[in-house]
Amino acid sequence: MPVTPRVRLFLAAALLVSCARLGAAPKAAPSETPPARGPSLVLRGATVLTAAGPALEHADVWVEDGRIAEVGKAVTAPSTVKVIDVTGRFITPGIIDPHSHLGVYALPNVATNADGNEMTGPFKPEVRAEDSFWPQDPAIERALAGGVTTIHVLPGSANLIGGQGVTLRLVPGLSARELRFPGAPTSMKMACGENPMRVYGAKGQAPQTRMAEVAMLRQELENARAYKPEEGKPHDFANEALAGVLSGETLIENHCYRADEMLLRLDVFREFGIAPRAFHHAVEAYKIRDRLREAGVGAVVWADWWGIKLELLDAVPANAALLDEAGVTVALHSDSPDEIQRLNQEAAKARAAGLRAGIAVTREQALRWITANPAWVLGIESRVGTLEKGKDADLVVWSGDPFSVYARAEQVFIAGGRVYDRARTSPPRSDFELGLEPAP
Amino acid sequence: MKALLAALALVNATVHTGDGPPLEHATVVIDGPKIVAVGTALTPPATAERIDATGKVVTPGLFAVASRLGEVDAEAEPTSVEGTLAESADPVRAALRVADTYNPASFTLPIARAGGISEALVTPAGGLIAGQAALVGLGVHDGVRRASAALALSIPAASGGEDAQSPPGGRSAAFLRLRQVLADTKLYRASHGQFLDNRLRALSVSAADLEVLERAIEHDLPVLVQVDRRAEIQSVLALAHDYDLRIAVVGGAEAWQLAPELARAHVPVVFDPLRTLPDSFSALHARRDAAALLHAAGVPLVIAELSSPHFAHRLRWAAGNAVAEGLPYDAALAAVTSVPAELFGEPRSGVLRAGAPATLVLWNGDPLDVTTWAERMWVRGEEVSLETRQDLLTERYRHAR
Repeated sequence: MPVTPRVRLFLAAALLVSCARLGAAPKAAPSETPPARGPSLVLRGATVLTAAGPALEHADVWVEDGRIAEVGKAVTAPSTVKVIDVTGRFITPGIIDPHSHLGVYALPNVATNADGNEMTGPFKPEVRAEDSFWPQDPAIERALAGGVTTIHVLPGSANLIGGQGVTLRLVPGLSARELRFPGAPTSMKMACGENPMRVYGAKGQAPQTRMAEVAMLRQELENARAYKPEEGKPHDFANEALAGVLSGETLIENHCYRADEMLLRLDVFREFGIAPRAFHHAVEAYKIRDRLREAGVGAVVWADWWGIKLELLDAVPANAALLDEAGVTVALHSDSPDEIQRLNQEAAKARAAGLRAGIAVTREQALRWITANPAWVLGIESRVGTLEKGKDADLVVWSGDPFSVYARAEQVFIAGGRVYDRARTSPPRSDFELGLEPAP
Repeated sequence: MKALLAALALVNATVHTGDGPPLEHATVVIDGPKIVAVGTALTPPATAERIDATGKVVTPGLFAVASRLGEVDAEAEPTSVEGTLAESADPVRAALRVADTYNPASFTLPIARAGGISEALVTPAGGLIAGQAALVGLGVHDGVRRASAALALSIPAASGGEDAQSPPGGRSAAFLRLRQVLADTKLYRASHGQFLDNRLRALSVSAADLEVLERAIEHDLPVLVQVDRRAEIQSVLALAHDYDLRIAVVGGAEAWQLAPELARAHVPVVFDPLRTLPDSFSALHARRDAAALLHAAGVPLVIAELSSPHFAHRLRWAAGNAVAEGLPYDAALAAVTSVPAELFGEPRSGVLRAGAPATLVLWNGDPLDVTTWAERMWVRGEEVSLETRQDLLTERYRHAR
């Protein structure tokens, strides 16, 4: 599926009404800085897990101009290309976390770093996670050390519509714009269930109930559908952001736990001719996996989170395996600065849970849960998520089989540039941590 | 004496005894509630039921320390949460006992069992002196084994994201109150008669609390102190010295910086290797290899899963990650079996050796890895089911499409 070009939302909305000959929308944010491309190199002699086919033993990965030039046995790169011997190591695509709050709930976890939920109204389509993102979050380099190269940063789930998500590469940068994944679509975070009810119910405001959540969402989408900019009046950025949702340009990433609520959301969206790209958390997705496959909706799930809230009580660790078996595009997510460091282990755990339940899950399938499938969830699957010729050279060299608790990422590359090297002690990337390292 | 249960032999297993190197192609024989033999050159009694454990691993049951198992069903539902009090309650509640509300039918227990957990030190939460921890067993017809097994205490980190309403001085207030409480306990202990005759000055703590606190300063009750930052760990060590408390540090994000002092004072650290982020102003020096550093310095190390009772089953992976960051494998296994059992458990438990309780787990591979699972578990000789509600849900929906 081709990548949807990233178009500023108000531009997209303006296109919809271009015949009205309105004044130009305010200028779009500056375009992203293209990521720095590393030197050409060949990683030689590893077990290469491409996420696009079977494992290749004693294989090489040739990186040229930030992209993968070739993957296979004994690739023949020009003799000028630097060769790194990684015999005995494993190589995988860079891990992609489709649901993170890094930078918007930065560490340390204090009130002034709680920047991800604008809890002043249940509809905030105009706010953007990238405008809260703090690139000095110390969690970022720890995620990188776990082999994560791309994250999707979302607002929280306090609101029915919480705002716009952004896809970032974990390259150094001084603002979110410098980390933005070029060409990645914007997403719209939506939420069902306990969180909006808890936040607004406690204030005596709407929604207090699930029926109000559905009714309010339906009305909000209808208002957006009917919205038309008028000449001489200011643009309404909230409605113009929702225009991107209604046109399908903006991906709906919908926080939702229970099967019944996911089915109800599908009905509401269907009225407007749209569907979410994926349900996130989706702990009961296994109960409706055929319906999700038919609707072409993905599921973004955990390996073993359960029970913390009532709506998580029916979570099962075989969720990912059951969904994959049924043909749903399933991805694992962290939603946590802790688990983002170990998404490879989360994939192994979810695979083991499937095997224990008698569902045959290959290592290759499980690898796709943290690479190719989250790339699809974010609409960047033509660029990253597998190790194939022409794709961006986002990859991880692991000390051993990444599906083991004992494996560690040794080297991490983004667009061919090395962004993490376990063997080298370097100062912290985050300014916040500078000078904090104690004497050994 | 006739055994209640038939003798059982697990044959040809890799056996981790909990306090030493693994035995290959080994046999474990249990008879009734006890282990009768463990070794590599054993012929099990002919009457024993044999279980072929070729390619499999046997360990002692795992011990979860500082857990809230059995106190919580769904954390976000206040009516399902016990072992704690409202924020507004007196922060000193030594007399509170989780044993009074420990629920052996809690949703949390089967998942923990499936993670190979057979014993837990269940601690109360909240306040400054949270109350008394209970030693519990996860076997059949099991439950509270020792109602007052430790006293739990917490130096607040004054953190907590968007819900945080913590005023400044949380740590200072904790030490201020703690010194008052301990001074009053000392006075109470020296002047029981006057206290009963109402001739003692007013004390800041209730009589019920004082009775429990007295046991702590008499070395009768271990004190678990949840504390992360180096400065406060140092202060806690000084306080423990002044009042002769037998303490263990829980959390201990920065404890590795004091490893020699902790080792010298024989103060154990209950550490969670999955929690290594600089996530509060008390943990800015947290590091991933802290467990290895503590062990190397000679600190008695307990590995625990400290985030949530819903994640108790992750204990073995916490240990596995510590190994990946440099902790020797046998030390990691001991840190979830024999070390906590010796500190907080029943005598001779947490190990596989003749005479020990027959509390053990049969795994289909390396128990510390993310690729394996527990196949069977026995607690005091009785097999306990590892089937969970999650298994039943999976089964129900697997074939009903």
